[in-house]
Amino acid sequence: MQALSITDVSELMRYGVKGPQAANWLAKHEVVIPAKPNAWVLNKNAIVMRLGISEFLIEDQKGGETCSKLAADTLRVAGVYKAPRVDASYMLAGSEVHNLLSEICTLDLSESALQENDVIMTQVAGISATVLRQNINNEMVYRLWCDGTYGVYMKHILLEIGAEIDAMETKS
Amino acid sequence: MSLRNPYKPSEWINRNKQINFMFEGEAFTAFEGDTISSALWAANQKVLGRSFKYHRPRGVLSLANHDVNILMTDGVDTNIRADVVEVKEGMKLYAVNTKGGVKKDKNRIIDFISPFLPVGFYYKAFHKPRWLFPFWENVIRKAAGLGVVNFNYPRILKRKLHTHCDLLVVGAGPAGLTAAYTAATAGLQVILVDENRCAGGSLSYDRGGDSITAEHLTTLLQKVNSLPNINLITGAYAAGYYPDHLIPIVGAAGITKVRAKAVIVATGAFEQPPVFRYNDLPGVMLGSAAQRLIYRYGVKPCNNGIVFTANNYGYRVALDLLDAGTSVSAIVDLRSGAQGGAYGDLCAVEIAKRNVKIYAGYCIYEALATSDRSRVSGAIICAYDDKNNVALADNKFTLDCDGIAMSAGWAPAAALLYQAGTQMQFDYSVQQFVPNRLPAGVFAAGKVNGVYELDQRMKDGERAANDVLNYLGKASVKINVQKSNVEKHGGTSPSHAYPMVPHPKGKNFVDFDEDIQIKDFENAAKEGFDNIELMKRFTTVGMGPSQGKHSNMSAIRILAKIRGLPVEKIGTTTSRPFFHPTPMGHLGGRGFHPHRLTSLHDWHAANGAVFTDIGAWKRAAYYLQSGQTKEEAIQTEAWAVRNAAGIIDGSSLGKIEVHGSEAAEFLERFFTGKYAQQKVGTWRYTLLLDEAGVVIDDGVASRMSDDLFYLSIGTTNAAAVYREMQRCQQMWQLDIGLVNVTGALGAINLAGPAAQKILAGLTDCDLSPAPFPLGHVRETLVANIPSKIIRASFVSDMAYELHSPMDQVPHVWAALLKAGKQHGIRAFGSDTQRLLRLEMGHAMPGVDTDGLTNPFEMGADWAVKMDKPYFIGQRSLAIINKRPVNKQLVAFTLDANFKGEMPLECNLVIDGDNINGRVTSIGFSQTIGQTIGLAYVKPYQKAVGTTFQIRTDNGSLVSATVVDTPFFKKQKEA
Repeated sequence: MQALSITDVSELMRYGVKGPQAANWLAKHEVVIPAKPNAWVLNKNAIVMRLGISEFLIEDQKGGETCSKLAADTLRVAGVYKAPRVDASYMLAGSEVHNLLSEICTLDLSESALQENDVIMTQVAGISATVLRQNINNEMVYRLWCDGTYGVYMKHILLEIGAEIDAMETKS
Repeated sequence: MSLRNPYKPSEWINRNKQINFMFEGEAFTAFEGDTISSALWAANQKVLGRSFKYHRPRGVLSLANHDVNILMTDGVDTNIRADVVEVKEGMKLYAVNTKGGVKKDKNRIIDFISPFLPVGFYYKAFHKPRWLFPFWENVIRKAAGLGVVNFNYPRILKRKLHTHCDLLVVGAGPAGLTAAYTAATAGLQVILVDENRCAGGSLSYDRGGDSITAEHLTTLLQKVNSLPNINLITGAYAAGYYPDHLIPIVGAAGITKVRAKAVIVATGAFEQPPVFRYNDLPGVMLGSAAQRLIYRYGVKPCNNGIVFTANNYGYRVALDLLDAGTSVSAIVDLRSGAQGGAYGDLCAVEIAKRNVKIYAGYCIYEALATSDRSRVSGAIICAYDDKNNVALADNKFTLDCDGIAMSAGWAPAAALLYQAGTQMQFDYSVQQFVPNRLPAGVFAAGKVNGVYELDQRMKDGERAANDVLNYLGKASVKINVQKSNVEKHGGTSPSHAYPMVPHPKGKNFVDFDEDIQIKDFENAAKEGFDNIELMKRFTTVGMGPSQGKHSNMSAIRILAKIRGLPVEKIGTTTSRPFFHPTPMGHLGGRGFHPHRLTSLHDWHAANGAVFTDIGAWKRAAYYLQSGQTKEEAIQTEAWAVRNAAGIIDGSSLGKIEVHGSEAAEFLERFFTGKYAQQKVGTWRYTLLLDEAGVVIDDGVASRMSDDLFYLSIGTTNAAAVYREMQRCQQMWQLDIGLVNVTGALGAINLAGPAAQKILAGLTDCDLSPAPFPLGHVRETLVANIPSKIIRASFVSDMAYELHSPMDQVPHVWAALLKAGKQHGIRAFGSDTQRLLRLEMGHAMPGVDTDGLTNPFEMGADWAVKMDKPYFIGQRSLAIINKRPVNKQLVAFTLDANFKGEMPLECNLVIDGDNINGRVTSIGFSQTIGQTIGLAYVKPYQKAVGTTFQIRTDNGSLVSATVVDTPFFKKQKEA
């Protein structure tokens, strides 16, 4: 297992929708949504995050088509507000991932505190971000999203701290 | 002669590795694990520092990082705490705060004139004559401080981490170790932190001549180390308590902020020195310091020692000194009741067997110094009346010694408890403040809790852990130690009620940091500073780097005696985080300075942009071409907009969609204007006030459909405005939805006489003024990218604001540049934009307003629709409207050929002796051919043609004339 890996997956397609009818609208498009807020499910190769009672963020994983299908529906519907998403998105993994997270986030993101399908909206490195924990090929991976205009900043911070951790690892 | 003792199994040094270092130009050797102080003491170096004020020679006092007798510099770092910093190979060390070296410090002369320098003298001196103050200021500034700040200190990022646990135990002594083990056994995740390099607290040095404590330590450490759910952190201190059990742990590498569900404070107590004349001489040290030297570093504190005690602990120290090979010529016990030895203490019995002379009811009247005043050489001893606390010096006698160990009592290390809001009470049985009422989730154990016997301290740790388990709802049947199981301290008090020995010649030091003597407190009280907080500030007791660890309790006792009050009536001073000095580098650490970049950032950088921070955004302020000055760049860009075309990246603008059937109603309530009747395809000005009627922000609201408004608002306030919208919606519960698209959409402003022609080639939208006049908005394709075109006139009448998906903005930008090339298009930055909008006469909230400006003062009456049922700030404005306006924003120009000192933003508008207002915006406009600006003036100065005076930075007055806006008249299409 690597000490730390930071992968920029901002190029994945995302789709945001909110509003009192958003859940129904997604259901009509056969998108399975989490039963409660601040949770996520994997549906048809897409991560479906329920950020609040009536707000959703969906990200296609590699090969997923959910977002492109939803984006194709441009009809405005009462109570459904499309929220264009241009997020920066990162995957963080490795044995030192908690070491990294402990410097950029005040919340306890360890496995004991962050349940498997929890979505947390918090501050990471001083900016609003969304975090969840995902198991990919039996490896625990943290997913991190922030506004795309903060992407360069976030990547710089992650790499800077990552390099320090790497140097500490090498030293020890 | 070396004072290094033979090997002891408990010691912290590695005798197999020798270290070479220099101190004050002299070569020394040490063992790995030695601190700077222990290594020098082992080499019989006794003068290791100089006191802050009188430059008195100082040696080891606590050897525990609780005092600052010994601070050093290695040429790079300063104020190195030699008592606890390990010596490293090749170090070249010097004591701080000396002139000419620690042994021959030229400033030691100050000690001889100290009678003329009592505390508070500088409050009264140096003020008169006034003209002499700069001289004194220079002298005092040079004299003040300890180490010299190294402005070339390398920037080292100290990490600031966050961690979480069920229980944080502060202090890894017998109580803390037991508490941590007990709690962890019940399954809690425990962090155990200790300031020392190794865990154990007093178990690692307080032996009293036998090996029981060492055995306890071995057992406890084995237990603690056997549990994976205990994270033992040593060499780090808990620096403060913040709400909800947030405690910063400061270590060498940085700060870890621990958020615990519960906290046990097992921080122990600071040993307190008795106060007697020359108690600060090198060789006079705390009993616990002597023990630390012996057991941690294998160093003999002295060859021939005297123990001056006021409790039973001194007898334990005496036994340890004997074990170390020191001959103890006497134990001087302040307590008259301790006839022939300490009250019922086994150590006293053992001492008696070792033929050590005990002087009970005696004091050290004065420590004697060697002829060079560099170390202690003896002590004058006399009887002591401990009812009246006076030395009976008639029959004094002298004993020779080269060291004095002091044990007068303890002060609880209760800073964290105080900061957590613990109600403390004075317990006369132990003569110390102990917790009376603890906040929820905070617990105390051990000496800080007033429990002193070793077995009881461990039991108290177990009891505290049990309390934590109950508090967390994880009570264990197996672990059930109640408070009543822990015996209160029995026998004589571990602390003396008043261990002070008055001396007519003074120099009996209470505070070693600041050289404060008993008489300084008496003088302070005479001057009226007889409240503990006032006395602290007048005498500066407890204000040095030790933060009163060895002096605050004595100060309280002295003040209580002066005022004839019990100690608890005096109270304590306020404890604030951080309770221990913490390097600035730790506090700074890694700073997070988030910044946002538009999708055009790389283009800007590649084209000479000079960036400026606006809100969280990096924006291009202007584009510097080769050989240009900033002013030339701005004028060139402005010229292009006025004569050809310019484009600016406006992607940082706040952009918010308001959806829903009540979107117009939401805007009517949120802004000052009217939107219910606004036609689809048009935009209207928005002005946002706070409840006090103060201008917060402005922007435009474009109606895209009956149930959709698209707002563009100021860059700086965008996030705050969106938050305020969400807050209002929570209250109003309208049928709307808010979508913040600031980061998702970018914006370009195309302006200038050629703007329409350039844009026309990129869109099918009819841009002719008739179908698409100012105030209108269209959704269309621009360069094949879905975009909104807003006909706004912020910088020019001929301008188009294009809003497109952020990631497509570079494509649109490139297309505009290409299409505009033949028209002389060029990019302009935000500094140029400010000049252009000034030419248009537009005031900007945040620039031309401040935290008190209402819309009437900035001339935005037209945007305020008072006849609406409600909008934020309306009620305040209704009241304000009944009063006369106090200031008015006006446009002004300077004389066309003005050549003097140029006024700047924030320069004052002056009328005689009165300040009438200030300049808010100013700049030279090549287009107008004059310097133009906006300023607040008194209402009597607002009429067009009125002249007023601006005072510039150099004090000269410049005349300005009120004019009408816009400065720049309507622009025609090219």
